[in-house]
Amino acid sequence: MPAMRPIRLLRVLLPGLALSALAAPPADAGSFGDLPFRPPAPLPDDRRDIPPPEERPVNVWEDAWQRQFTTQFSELFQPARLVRMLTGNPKQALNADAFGDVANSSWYVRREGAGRLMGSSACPDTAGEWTVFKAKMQGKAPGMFVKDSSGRRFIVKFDPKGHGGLSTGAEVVNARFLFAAGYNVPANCIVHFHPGRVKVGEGVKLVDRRGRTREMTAADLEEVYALVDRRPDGLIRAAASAFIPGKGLGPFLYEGTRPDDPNDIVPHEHRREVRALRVIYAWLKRFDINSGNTYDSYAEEDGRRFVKHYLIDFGGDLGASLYGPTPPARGHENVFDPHQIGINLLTLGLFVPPWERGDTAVAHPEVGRYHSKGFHPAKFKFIVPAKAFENLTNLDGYWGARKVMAFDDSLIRNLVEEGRYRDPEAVDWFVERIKERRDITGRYWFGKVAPLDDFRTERTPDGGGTVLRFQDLSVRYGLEAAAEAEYQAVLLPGDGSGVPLPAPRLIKAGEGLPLPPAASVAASGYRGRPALAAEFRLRRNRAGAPGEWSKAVRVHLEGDAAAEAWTVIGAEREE
Amino acid sequence: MRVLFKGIPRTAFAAVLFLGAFHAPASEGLQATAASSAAASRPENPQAADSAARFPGKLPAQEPWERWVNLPGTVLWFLPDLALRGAGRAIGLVDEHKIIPKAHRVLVSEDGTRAILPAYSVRTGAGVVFRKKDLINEGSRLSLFGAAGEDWRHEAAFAFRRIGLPGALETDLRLDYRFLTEEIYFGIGPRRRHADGADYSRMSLEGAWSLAAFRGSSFSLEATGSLGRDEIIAGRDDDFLPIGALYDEASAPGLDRRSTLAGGRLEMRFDSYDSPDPKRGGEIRIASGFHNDVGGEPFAFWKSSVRAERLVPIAHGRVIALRAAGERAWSPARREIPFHQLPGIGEDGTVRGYARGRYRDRDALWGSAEYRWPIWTPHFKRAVEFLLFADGGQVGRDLSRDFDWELVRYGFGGGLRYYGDEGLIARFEVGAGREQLRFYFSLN
Repeated sequence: MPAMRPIRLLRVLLPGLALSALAAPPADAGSFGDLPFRPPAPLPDDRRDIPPPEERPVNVWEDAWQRQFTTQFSELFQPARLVRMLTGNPKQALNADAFGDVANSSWYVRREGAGRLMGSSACPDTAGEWTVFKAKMQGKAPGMFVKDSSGRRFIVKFDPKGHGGLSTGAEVVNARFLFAAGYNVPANCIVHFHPGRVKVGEGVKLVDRRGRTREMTAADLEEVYALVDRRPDGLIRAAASAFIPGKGLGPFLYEGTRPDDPNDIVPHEHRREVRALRVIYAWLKRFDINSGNTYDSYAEEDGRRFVKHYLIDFGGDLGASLYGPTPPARGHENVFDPHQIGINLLTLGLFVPPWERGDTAVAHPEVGRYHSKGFHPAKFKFIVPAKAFENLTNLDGYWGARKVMAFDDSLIRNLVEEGRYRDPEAVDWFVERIKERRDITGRYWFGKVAPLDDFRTERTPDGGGTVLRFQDLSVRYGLEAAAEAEYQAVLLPGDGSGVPLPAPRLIKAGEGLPLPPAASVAASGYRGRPALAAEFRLRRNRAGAPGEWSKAVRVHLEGDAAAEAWTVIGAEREE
Repeated sequence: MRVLFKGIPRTAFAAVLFLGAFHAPASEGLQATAASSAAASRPENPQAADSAARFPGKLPAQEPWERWVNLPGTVLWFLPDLALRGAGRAIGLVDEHKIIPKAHRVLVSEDGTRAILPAYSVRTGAGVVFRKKDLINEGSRLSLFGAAGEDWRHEAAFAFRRIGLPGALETDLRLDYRFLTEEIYFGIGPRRRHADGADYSRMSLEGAWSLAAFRGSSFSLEATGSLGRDEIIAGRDDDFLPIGALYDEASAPGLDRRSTLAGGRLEMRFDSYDSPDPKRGGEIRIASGFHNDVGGEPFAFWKSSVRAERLVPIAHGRVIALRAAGERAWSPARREIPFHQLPGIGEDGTVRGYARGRYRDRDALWGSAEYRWPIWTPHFKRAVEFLLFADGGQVGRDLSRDFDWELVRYGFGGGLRYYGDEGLIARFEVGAGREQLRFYFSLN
């Protein structure tokens, strides 16, 4: 077959692409759908009882290769992505509800108040004897698997020598941040133990650095201790991570589904809480997202057995790495970054990346390299690309930013203090940087959509009417001044017919939008009830000058004519 | 041999395709294109969904229109995709079977002092090097190197360096054997044309013993005694005429006579590099020696050289390397210099982009400016650098009188270098001269 010349190939492909663009449906969940609004059906709970799936080991190197090369190249041959980009129609998450939120699942649980704190009941007993039942000798960051005196199992991890507090602090602090954000993580805490209380169990095998399998001895433990710092009192600081309950099934991937888990029906790259991890990870500088840092467990809860998805291994997060402070390039470049290599090559090295020019000093040895200067929430790069993160839309980003902004100052301090750092100044410094990165994250993603949320209806004090109230999250979290905010509201008939009802009006922060009596509105909703849609935009009038109107939020209301009440049944955002 | 090598890529490609075929994800790909569009949308009624099936089917990652749009690309990319997946699986297998640690265990001793490593020499080709560190004293280094390349050019070398002696003295022992089958001789002088090239093989064996005195870590003085034997025989390069067809003993001294040279050489070296992956500092080498034929042939000559390099750090790891060097050979009355011992440009390390020994004469001068910048810094590893260079040089009977800017030969090019903890590990460079492109690769 004669080879098709490039020009001829283009002649064939370009009209095809153009036709595809025309054939592509209009922007779906990113902008507004048709009226009357019909809330999407909730997905079934993915914590239903299932038979035990098989363990599915994933080789970290192979997975990194597939993500870095196979997937990246194959995406070049998938013009649908290009069509979506050109038509401004990004593929939205498949598991978002009528408000753009996600339901509690085996991936994520909404945690609030004291439920966001992990507690310390999972710490091993350091007064009793520990028995090593499995070796963890490979790599430059050795650790050990131990049972404490009560038989509970833990993975014990250490700081690199000369960097006391760095990795163990990151391990504990970041696990607690991600737990508070709603994700599943192993319970862990900082411990100080005496090496004399640790013995090697019977018949423990290890694979040494040279690939040989042999029985572990006390000398191997000494080899581990030689790589870590001891305090003057002989104690060793470590992060103890409790074993995740249930049968280990191997890691979860940032794309696809687990074939043998019938609960796992949404491709991971299209789960909002997985996509939004990109926002949360960027904030917490969790760079290493290789498949070894996720974990599936066949767990039993409330009598049901299902696959629960965990995030694990945080010792290389925040300002830490397993070798010392995180290298300056982390978060700015993938480990192999063809894009950056291309820029470096083509600019003959004249382009010096901002991270190379900026301040990369380590301010506090226990904290490592965790800066807010130069941090860009959308430009944070990971060890290798992840399809779920590449699919992140503004709506996913907004969802993630809401999670990030929900960490108030006192919660952040509380979580950082769980790292039990020796230097109080390091804690103060760390807390400030985390807060700064949080606010940068909020400002960025809240700027991509209209950050109006928490819509609710209230009876007016005289009881004669109903108002629709909302919160401007930028104002609520102190990112913007309430006095500068101005909101435009438009009421639309629920079936989309006719002109706005009544005329558009401007409202100030804290004010609500008065709604007409439900009995006076046509029963045009999807369930034959009165329906309205309220469209909001906002602008910030700085220094007396009116700002640009933002993208819109459309709030859907369903009326009860008999009770004269309105209920918010959904909110859509312009992407 | 060539047939064997030609077969390897095809077999390897078939192997990765095979691995890739077993690795291809079941949920995506060609078969998914025909998936029902009904499954693309979520059920509208949860009750209906629950009654239809307790576990609804998996949601497709792509909508039907996306599958159709992607179909041509999916077909086009099918084989490369399989190959990439297969390569990934192969990497996984290497890791799972701990092939690298096992190979490391076989090739490198437990204490790291003994190793067998792959190597590549610009002159001869691929080979292996055996190294033993700290054999007699800490810092001593024994190495055995063997390499072979196309047309059976090959090389073997033994070296035992930095053997400690009392005081600040060290001694080196070296024995090199080379059989270079595709050498080209273009004649003597700066105006020789490419068409003047003639092909020959050079077989050489040389042993050397040296004694070095160190002052601090940056200054050394080294005295070397050597005995070497060279023989010129027919070459194996079909692109050039045999040397005997164009040259004779008068125009190419040493062509018909074996040289057996005994020599003595003194070298002074000053090195102020800041690290094995240097970003600042420099080096100066001044050497001079006398060689005399002990086999009865009338070869005897002096050879002196000066080489200097200075690294100019710019910022953020960007460096300009400036090099200048000169070499002079001269002989006592009624004595001759074998043509292959004449200073020349075109050797690696002189003017890149020219054949080895493209220009030869009694004097040679050359200089180089090289700009290096890091293009990739793997985390925890040293940088991979890219470089651009411009080299220039000239040969002449006596360049102190004959130097002519019009006879300066220039070479330009670029390349990549990768440094490890102990220095340069690998480099690949391409140089363009007036006549051709030359590729330079070295490993370990």
